[in-house]
Amino acid sequence: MESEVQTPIPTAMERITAAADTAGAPRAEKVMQILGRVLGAGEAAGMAVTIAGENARELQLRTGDRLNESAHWLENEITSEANRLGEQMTKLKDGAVATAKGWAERALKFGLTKATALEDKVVMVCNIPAGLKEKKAILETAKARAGAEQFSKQVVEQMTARASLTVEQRAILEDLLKWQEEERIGLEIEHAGAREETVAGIDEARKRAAELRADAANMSDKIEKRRVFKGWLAKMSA
Amino acid sequence: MNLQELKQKLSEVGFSDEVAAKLNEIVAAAMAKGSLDAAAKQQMMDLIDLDVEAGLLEADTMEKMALALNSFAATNEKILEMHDEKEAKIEADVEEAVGQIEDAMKTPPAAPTL
Repeated sequence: MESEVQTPIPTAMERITAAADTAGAPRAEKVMQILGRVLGAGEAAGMAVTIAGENARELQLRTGDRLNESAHWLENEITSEANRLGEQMTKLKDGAVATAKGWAERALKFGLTKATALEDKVVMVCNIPAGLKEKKAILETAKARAGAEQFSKQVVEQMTARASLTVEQRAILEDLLKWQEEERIGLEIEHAGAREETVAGIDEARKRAAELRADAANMSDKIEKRRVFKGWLAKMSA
Repeated sequence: MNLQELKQKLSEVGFSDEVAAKLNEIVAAAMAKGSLDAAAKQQMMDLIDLDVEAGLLEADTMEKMALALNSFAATNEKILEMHDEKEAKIEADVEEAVGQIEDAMKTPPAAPTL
């Protein structure tokens, strides 16, 4: 019986449910409803309904895969954009810090002992908003899990392909399957609401950008006042 | 403008704390002396230049950061839009295929030819 161990292929409904969870979108649910119109009916009647070489069950499986692929694409794109933002901010921070250090050296000569305050300020400005950091971490974890899931799947497939499994191999396979299932559940949890997280991230970024714009305008106003004061001072007779 | 007026204006400008303290110190010393000498005046000018420079760096960093965040938000919005389009395409494809299957199920199977 050992040779009869089969790779547990997720059912079509499981795939689509996972995709719906991943996307968190009513669209996936709608696709499920459309499929529901034909699924079961043909099979129950013992019919093999074939359209262009694809029966309803194959369509269901393929649709589940397409929805999953689409959800993974979304996750990858968002992760890559979050990474790009991180790199951009690091570059901006490095440049600003270098300028602040040069300024601090000159400021010290004028007796300004808190010269590092400017450096601290620019570092603070360049920090990724806390909300965005959390989302980035969630996405990175989800991506790592997806990689682990893929690896597990490959191992199981290879082992199953050998047809005859020893007791030991079977135990390993069972462990892997159990682990894979845990990973799958974990992945679904991580994925859940990815879209909502992204929308929240967009709001968070826009909010912080608006705050920074307001602070920059306020600072520009102060700079103007400092220049005007310098003009008055220049006109004063020593 | 006399020194008293200068002191008053100084408090209204919004210099950074440390520069404001230094400027007040110089003005207070000048008031005690009864005049602002050239060296003290130059020192004040240099301090103001430094504070303007610091302010410019802060404002510039904030502007660039705001730009980066807005660009991040806009790109993510575009990604979501593309994702919606992908899923709309899946839905349309499924709708079409299901429609064909439904039609096929309505059509009675052809009678076997003998």
